[in-house]
Amino acid sequence: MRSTEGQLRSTRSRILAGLVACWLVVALASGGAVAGVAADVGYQDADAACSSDAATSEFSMLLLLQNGDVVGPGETVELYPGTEARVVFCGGSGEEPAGDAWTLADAEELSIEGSGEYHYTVRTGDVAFEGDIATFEEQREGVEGPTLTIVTPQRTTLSYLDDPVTLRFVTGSDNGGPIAEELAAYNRSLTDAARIRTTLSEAANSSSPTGADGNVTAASKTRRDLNAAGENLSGALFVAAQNGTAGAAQGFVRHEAHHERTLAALDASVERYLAAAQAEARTARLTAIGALLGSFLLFGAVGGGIGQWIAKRDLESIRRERRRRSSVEYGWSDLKKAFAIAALGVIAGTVLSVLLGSTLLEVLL
Amino acid sequence: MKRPDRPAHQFAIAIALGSAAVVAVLLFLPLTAGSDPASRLATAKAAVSLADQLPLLVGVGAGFGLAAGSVIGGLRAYHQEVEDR
Repeated sequence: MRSTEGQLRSTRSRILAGLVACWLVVALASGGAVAGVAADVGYQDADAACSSDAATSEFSMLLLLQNGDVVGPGETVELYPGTEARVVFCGGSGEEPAGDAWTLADAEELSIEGSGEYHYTVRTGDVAFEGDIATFEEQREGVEGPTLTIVTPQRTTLSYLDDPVTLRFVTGSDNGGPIAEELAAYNRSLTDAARIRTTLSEAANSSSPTGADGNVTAASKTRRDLNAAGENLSGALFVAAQNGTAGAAQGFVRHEAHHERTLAALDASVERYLAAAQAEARTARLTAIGALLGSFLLFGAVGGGIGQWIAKRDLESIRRERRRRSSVEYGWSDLKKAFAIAALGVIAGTVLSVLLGSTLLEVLL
Repeated sequence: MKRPDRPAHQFAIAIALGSAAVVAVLLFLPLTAGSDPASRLATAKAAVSLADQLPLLVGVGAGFGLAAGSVIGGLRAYHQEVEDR
């Protein structure tokens, strides 16, 4: 049953991993994350951007994002430090040449990385900023642009991974981040699982595994809790990756693999402990069989001798009696003394079996 | 031609040894051993606990052995007596 569950989990994991593959590519390639945006489909053309609804005024400065979004006047965008974007200027008749019809100032908040015919490529600086990007335009008057907010991301690291992954996110209503609760619960489960594994390992290596503190019921509960916590964290990472949290997609994939390995390691610990306990039980069974059968055969031989001797004595007296009176016949009742000894033996054996109690039944059945 | 009956004590020996063999097999291979970890551990603990009560086990074997032996011995003596008659 566990193997079927494992196969289902494995299949589901592969599907989920496939679904987030695109986000993983984006997250790894872009380095910085755009709040509320996940997929990187490339910049829009300056021409198309100026023809879009984002160009709301006659002199609009537009911010083009790597995911294809176009942010225009009246809109607000939050970007992490180090995020790359393009700035275009739309005049009355469409896009206007960069560095000629308009010029963007190189600033700490928005540094110029390069330029094209109709755009500047900019990168947000590692400073707190909130303002209209039109303020960076140097030549023209009456230009309107979107409001840019540079936000400092919070970080959460999946430190339990062999190769830890750090998630970056903007603190909102959930101050601990999008996976805070799930991560804390999973870390607690990992601690419990590690403790159980240590206990089981010590018990398996002890001289008497069955007498050691190897609680497989607690191990089963810990496995269930660990599995639930791991599933919850997977779900939270998946949603975070969907929402564009940097590092979440990579964290999801590595967490899934780590979670599978952790469950397998816990199962292996339980199996090792049970194997050690069963090896001890096998020796105990052989000892019990030896004691029971040995005494049965030994006392069987003794009982046989006694029974035969007593019966023979009684039968000889019957034989003598038959010589005197021909009406005397042999019968099973002539063995009553031997049968009486047998009855005593059965009673003694039964009483001692009862004293062994449920242990004997538990082993036999 | 009618086959001569086997002596009763031979049947008794066969029954005694057969029963002992069945008990030995059951002791080594439990009939209803569960597959979940908890029941596997419980069965293992019961086996170890049983082996810890060796004097009682020896007593059980001795009691039933004595019973079987005296019946067999009695039957054998009866058979010899009747044969010698």
